Amino acid sequence: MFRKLLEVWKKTRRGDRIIIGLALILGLAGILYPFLWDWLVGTPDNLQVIIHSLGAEKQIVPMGSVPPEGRELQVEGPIGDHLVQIEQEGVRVIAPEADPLKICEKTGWIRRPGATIVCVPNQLAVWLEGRDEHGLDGISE
Amino acid sequence: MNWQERIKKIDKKRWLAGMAAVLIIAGALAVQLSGNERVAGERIQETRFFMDTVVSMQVLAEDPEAKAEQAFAAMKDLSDRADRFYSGSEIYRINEKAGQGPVEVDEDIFAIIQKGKEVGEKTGGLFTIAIAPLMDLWGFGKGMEPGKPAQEDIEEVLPLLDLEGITLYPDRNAVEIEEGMQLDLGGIAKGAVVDRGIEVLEELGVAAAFINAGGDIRVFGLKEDGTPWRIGVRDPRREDRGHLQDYVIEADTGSVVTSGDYERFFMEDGERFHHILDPRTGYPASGLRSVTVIGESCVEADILSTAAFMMGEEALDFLENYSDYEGLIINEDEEILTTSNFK
Repeated sequence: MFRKLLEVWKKTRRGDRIIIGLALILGLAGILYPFLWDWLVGTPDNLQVIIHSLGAEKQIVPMGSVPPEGRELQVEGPIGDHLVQIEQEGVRVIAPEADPLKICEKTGWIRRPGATIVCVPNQLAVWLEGRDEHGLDGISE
Repeated sequence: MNWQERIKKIDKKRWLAGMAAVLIIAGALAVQLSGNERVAGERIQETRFFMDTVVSMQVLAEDPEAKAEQAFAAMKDLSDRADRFYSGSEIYRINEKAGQGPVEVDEDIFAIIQKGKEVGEKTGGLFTIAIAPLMDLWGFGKGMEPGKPAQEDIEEVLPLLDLEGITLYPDRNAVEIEEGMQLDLGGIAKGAVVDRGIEVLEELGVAAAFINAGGDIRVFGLKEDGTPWRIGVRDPRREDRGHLQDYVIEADTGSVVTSGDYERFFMEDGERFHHILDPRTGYPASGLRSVTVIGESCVEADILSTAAFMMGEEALDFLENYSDYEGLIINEDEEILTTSNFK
């Protein structure tokens, strides 16, 4: 079998080999596509921060656009301003003094897709969107 | 020899055969790339903020955006009507009329209250929808300042948490509560709202869906690649809010709900007080870090996880009594224990 293939291969010309090569590359790309996709979308660069606050348009910050020194956003709310701190590997919220429980601040840094930070008194929600590296659709918590 | 001359040397038949091969492979590749749509429509994810939490939904269907929108609208409507802090809600009306006779409500709100009372009674009152006075006393109500209340104040409100004080009139969807009582559907509404969202999506004929309302999750169907939904369970021991690596749940139907002591709490005099209050003592329940319940109905899983949280390690025996539900608990020694058929 292998010998026959070798004989056929020897009879091919350069043009044939180019076409066979192209076909192999395309076929291989088709097989590897799901794995390449996982690899591509699973990188932190594909994560984005979504900031939802009362009466304002949703803000979307791609993690890939955050400079190495990080980025800070001030978000106004009925009981004071929140500070949303975004770094390349995560995001956290600093609550205003008037927030009684400061749950959002206690949540700390979030780093995985689907993780959320919520401040009920200010109706602020911050979450990360992207593909989970463990292939999870969500976490029960 | 330049490129054009080389091409001329390749005979026509070979060219045709080669191009046909490339086209066949490219076609197969295109089919694979667009496979999602071919199988069962497109899967989308939408996220909203209501019920004071982040609600995310994945829908696999034809025209999934419109279907997700309808489900979100039904969920938001139900959550508004179940919110005791919203003056236009039916629960607000019931609480306002405490001790003044029955109040008629919509069928779906009545069904939630009925479910809360029935399952709450089965838990021996460990889950009570009449928890509002105690929640307010601790300052866990919306916009309140949290703090440890005086013992005499706690003792004063404990009788008001008894489910016996709620009378239901199923013939006319009416609810009556005794004077001083206040209903709070916070421990049940999220589950009920998730169930409603799934119900709407099933009615709309979507192929598969996933709804996550602040950690209360319900799914149905398989994803476009034929795989089940993958759900992690929060590991309360991890500061990064990660999941238990060895307990990933794969499901094509059902709910996963977790109650934990890590979400809402405050510190006072070096002591930590969380928001899951035991109606027997009036204090935050102790003994467990979290309880996860798996079963079909999200609302029942919600009730069972809250009730089980009060029980310490007896929670496992309690959950074993519910043949349709399985549970996983993490105790204060950070051990993981599961019911016999948990998987």
